[in-house]
Amino acid sequence: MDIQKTPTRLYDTKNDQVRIDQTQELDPHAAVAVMSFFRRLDVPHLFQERVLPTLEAGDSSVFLAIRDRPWPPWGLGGMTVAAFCQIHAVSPTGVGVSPVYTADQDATNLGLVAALYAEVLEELTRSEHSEVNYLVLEGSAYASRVLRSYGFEPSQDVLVTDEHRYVFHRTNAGALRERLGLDRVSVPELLAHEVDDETFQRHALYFSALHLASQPIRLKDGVMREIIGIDGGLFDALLPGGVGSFEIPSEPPAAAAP
Amino acid sequence: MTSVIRAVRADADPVIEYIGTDLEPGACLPTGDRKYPAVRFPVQPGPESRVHPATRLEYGVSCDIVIRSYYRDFRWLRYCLASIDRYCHGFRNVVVVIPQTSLAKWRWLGLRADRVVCCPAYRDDYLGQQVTKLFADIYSDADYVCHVDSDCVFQRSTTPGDLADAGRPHVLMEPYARLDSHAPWQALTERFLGAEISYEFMRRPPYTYPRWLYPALRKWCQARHGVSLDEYVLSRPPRGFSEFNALGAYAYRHHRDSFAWLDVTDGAVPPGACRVFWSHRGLDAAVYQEICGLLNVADGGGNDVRPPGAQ
Repeated sequence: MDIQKTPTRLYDTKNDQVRIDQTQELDPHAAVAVMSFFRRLDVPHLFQERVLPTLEAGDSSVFLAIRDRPWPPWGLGGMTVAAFCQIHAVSPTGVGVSPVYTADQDATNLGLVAALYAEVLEELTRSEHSEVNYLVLEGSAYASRVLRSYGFEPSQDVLVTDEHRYVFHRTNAGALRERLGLDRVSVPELLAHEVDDETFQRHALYFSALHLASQPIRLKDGVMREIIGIDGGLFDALLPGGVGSFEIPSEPPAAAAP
Repeated sequence: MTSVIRAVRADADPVIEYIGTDLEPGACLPTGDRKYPAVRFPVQPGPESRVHPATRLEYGVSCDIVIRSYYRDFRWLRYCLASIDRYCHGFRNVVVVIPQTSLAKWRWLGLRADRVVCCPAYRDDYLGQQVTKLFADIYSDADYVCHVDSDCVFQRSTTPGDLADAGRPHVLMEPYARLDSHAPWQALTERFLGAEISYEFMRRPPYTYPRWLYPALRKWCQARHGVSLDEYVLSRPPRGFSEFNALGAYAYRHHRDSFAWLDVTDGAVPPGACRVFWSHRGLDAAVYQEICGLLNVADGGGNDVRPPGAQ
């Protein structure tokens, strides 16, 4: 008993009470907790318009960082969702992964975000769904370049809207886990922010980019996002046969010399 | 609702041993509602023997202290373990049972016990921890099991012999007629046993029972309700079961001569071995100071987890 683990820093006490759960269905109390979470985020529509239909379509899981009420821990209000991430199958081997949503009071709780994402990637690395997908705005500099730096590669699969075209960016879940250093640290270490500076910075860049590029999540029609959610049913969204492919820059454009 | 709580993979650690590998034929495993296997592994070699003949519950038998804990209670558990180190003698092993989902935090905190056993994780761990206790004979092979919770701190020298009379474990009881009518345990224990119950048996830890009682209760449950005991408990609503009332009431009704029944209203009850805190209240500075006093140390007995903000 020689290791002192006293909660003293910002988020230490809150993270000490966090458990991470994965589920394919939401019982009534868990559903209320998730609905309340999105209501507090001022995006209540996400539950009805995205989370629930995606879950009900099957082959989807939600990962929840939960804080239980001290007493009693059951019943309505017994659990509070602190962070949320959803995955769903988009191909036989690939999943779409949502941004990691956090409550406003955990907005900079990088350890919480990383811990939740670590559980997502661990699940993917031991399942047949071993490929992580994000849908990125064609021509994006920010999101695409950051994702490429973590091993993502753009594909020929696209989503086309009236205004924009989005390109699937993919990487292997295990490789991403290694690049993020999540194979070397435990969830309690992440929750306690006990990671080296380099790993911390890699997490900060990756999760900030995912978060920012997915903004705005509030209802604002016409605002362009660099990363959007992958709707169910976009399996192998290659263009139909005979349609010419479009060019994907193999490397990010080089920065201009000063 | 299908659900899987995330957990460290058992095969990630070569010292982990699956609990099902060394059970007696026909032994019953608690299934829980999770699909992760229960595992057993040694965290730290135990002492050669804590047992001195003079401290035995009865001659030639063993008694383990079994603590069912989980990640939220580990900071309490440190003090509980420290108090056992300080005050408990004659017990064979201290066995900590935790859900597999709490294993990473156990390791991270650097906690140690003679033995640590992983049990299944449960959606409702309030009921799940009761299931674990009702299967204590799976997690310990001692002749007697002495249950304490993470938020119990021993406050005086205690041996297995202090918990029994002539080899018969003490079971404290109190007439329900003396208790608050809102106490929920009477009706649900009566429903479980199918008989009128006049006494409350969950009066004060530690609770000590012989290992034969656990399979006997499980067999009785299967016969009476047609389902295994873990299925029965997990099908209850929140706060719909009381494991120590079930054990106590069953023992009182079916094996009364094997126990020493102490009615707390008689005034002949020995002083409590433990100071019982309530972990849900939180571990604040006042509690910390009280624990230091109980352990007769200034700093928590070297088990150096102080409450948040303590200097």
